Amino acid sequence: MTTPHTDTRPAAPAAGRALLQVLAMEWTKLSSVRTTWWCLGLGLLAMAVFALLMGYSAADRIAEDPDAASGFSYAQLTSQGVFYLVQFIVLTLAALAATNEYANRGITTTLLAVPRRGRVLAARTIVTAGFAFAAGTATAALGIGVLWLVIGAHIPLDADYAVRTVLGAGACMALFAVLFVGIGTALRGTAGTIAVGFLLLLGLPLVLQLSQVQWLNDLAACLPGLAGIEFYASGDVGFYTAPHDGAVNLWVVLGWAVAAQLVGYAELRARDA
Amino acid sequence: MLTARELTKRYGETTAVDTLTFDIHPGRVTGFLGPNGAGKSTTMRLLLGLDRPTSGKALVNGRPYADLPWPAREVGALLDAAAVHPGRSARAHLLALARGGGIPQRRVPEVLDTVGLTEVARRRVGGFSLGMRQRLGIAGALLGDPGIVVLDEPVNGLDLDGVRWVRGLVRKLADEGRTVFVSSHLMSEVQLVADQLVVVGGGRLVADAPLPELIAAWSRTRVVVRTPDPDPLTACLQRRSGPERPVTVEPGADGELLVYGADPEEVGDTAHAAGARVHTLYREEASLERAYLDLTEAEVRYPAASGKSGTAQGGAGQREGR
Ligand SMILES: Nc1ncnc2c1ncn2[C@@H]1O[C@H](COP(=O)(O)OP(=O)(O)O)[C@@H](O)[C@H]1O
Ligand SMILES: [Mg+2]
Repeated sequence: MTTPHTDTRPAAPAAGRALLQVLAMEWTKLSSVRTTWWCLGLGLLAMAVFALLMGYSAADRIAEDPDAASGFSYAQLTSQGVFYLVQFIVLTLAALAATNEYANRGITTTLLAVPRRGRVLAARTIVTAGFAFAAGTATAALGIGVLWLVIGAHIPLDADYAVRTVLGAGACMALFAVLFVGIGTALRGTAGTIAVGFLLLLGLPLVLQLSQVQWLNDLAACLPGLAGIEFYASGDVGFYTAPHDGAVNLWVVLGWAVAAQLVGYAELRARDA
Repeated sequence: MLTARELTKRYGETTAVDTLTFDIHPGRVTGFLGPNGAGKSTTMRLLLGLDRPTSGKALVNGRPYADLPWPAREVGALLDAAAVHPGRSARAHLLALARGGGIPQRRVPEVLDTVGLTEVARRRVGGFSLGMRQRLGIAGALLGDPGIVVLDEPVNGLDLDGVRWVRGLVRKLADEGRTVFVSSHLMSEVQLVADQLVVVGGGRLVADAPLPELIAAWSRTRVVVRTPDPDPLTACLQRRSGPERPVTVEPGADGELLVYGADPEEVGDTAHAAGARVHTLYREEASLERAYLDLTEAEVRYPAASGKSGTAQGGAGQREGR
């Protein structure tokens, strides 16, 4: 052991460098836990199986009736895979990233290393969002790829459109990660975070649509799950048409994400660790 | 240097830490002693910026923990050995801490070696015994080669070898000039390593003094007499009491008399003079553990149900001591 640092007081690192340190810490933590990779693997597997199923059933229909080809959409099917499968994996990942340290008390060690709580939240959010972006683009690309392998002979793939779906899914999954890291930081419980996430993504919009009341139905489009798919499917959702198309839906998701982060930050600042 | 000034922390009705004021100086081991629930962990969490004080100040080298430029290099702490993700390897855990604290990565194998976990560095922490986790926690505390080391009950869960190892380590850290602050609920434990003791009970400061001073103040020797004629003996003994050497007699739990301030010869002679029959007569050293518990338990709001009420006045002498 070398001399103790009692009296040496080097200047604090610049904010940028300090944030890089915390990013490295959070990435080391996220990547050193098997659950992270299991989640990613599960997402890829689920998407591949989904795309295979959808591809073959579409191929069957087209074989029976060549006109059915006009109703086929790579973006629509892939987006549904993201909506029904991948977004829940992102929810689980983000919920775990934000809350696991409250379950095992690792949050004390983290805050001892980095007492600036805002910095911890920022780094955790960025790392999880980055991973979610990678997971979103990878699963969407895999979905489109598998569909194309199955059905590419019958229906050409518009590359621009495919790229838009892939990047859109990535961006939306990243924003979902931001949203659920915020909620998880505020709630501190994994189960609660996943429950709230499930309601926001699927439960509430389904109920609102079931109501058969038009304005409630439209309100469902303001929830992050439907606004999200509306965005990455570029309006070609297949089961729901929101009153508005395009980028506004991304802004809706962004609004949810920012609000959740603000609440999470306030909780993290105010409450004892 | 750790500083508490009028430090107070309330949880609703409970006052966990009550206007504590103390300084913890470098170059010596300061034991932080108090029964369970005395507020030791809470005080440490306040000093380390994990909890917000209700009032008062908790400072590290003169500033709040969150304002330290390189906290992990100035302070190393073990608060809760179980506080690690069970799915992470020991090495990855320390690597993450090193990265977050801006500590060179070469420190990771060094501290793993220091605590003797090199062999299991790549194993997941979930499979570790409590003792191994405790060592990992200590490795985390030493990672930044800090000038201040804070350890909350570091020997909990360690076997005898581990306990000895912690004692040696704590001594060495203090001898290197570091500030070492170690909590325990056992007098017998801190007695072996501490130079200075901060004693708390019920969140309040009971004592802050060098260990030898406390031992001198707290060791009370007494004479135990069993006699069928307690009244004449008590009267005679009390007559011998003077201002420069007060003699006090207290009834023991089983009808015996406990005499303070007189040696056994004196008590025997007095009994003879008083015509009191003596069945038993011996000297008893009240253990330091007992003295400490007596002093702190007045402050404890929720004393353990067993073995306290009957023995507060005495009775638990050397035979019960550890
Ligand atoms: N987060 C908390 N909420 C409510 N009460 C608490 C909390 N933390 C500690 N306490 C209470 O504060 C008192 C002191 O606890 P603690 O600091 O853990 O004592 P020690 O470490 O000396 O055993 C206890 O009565 C405990 O129940
Ligand atoms: Mg404690």
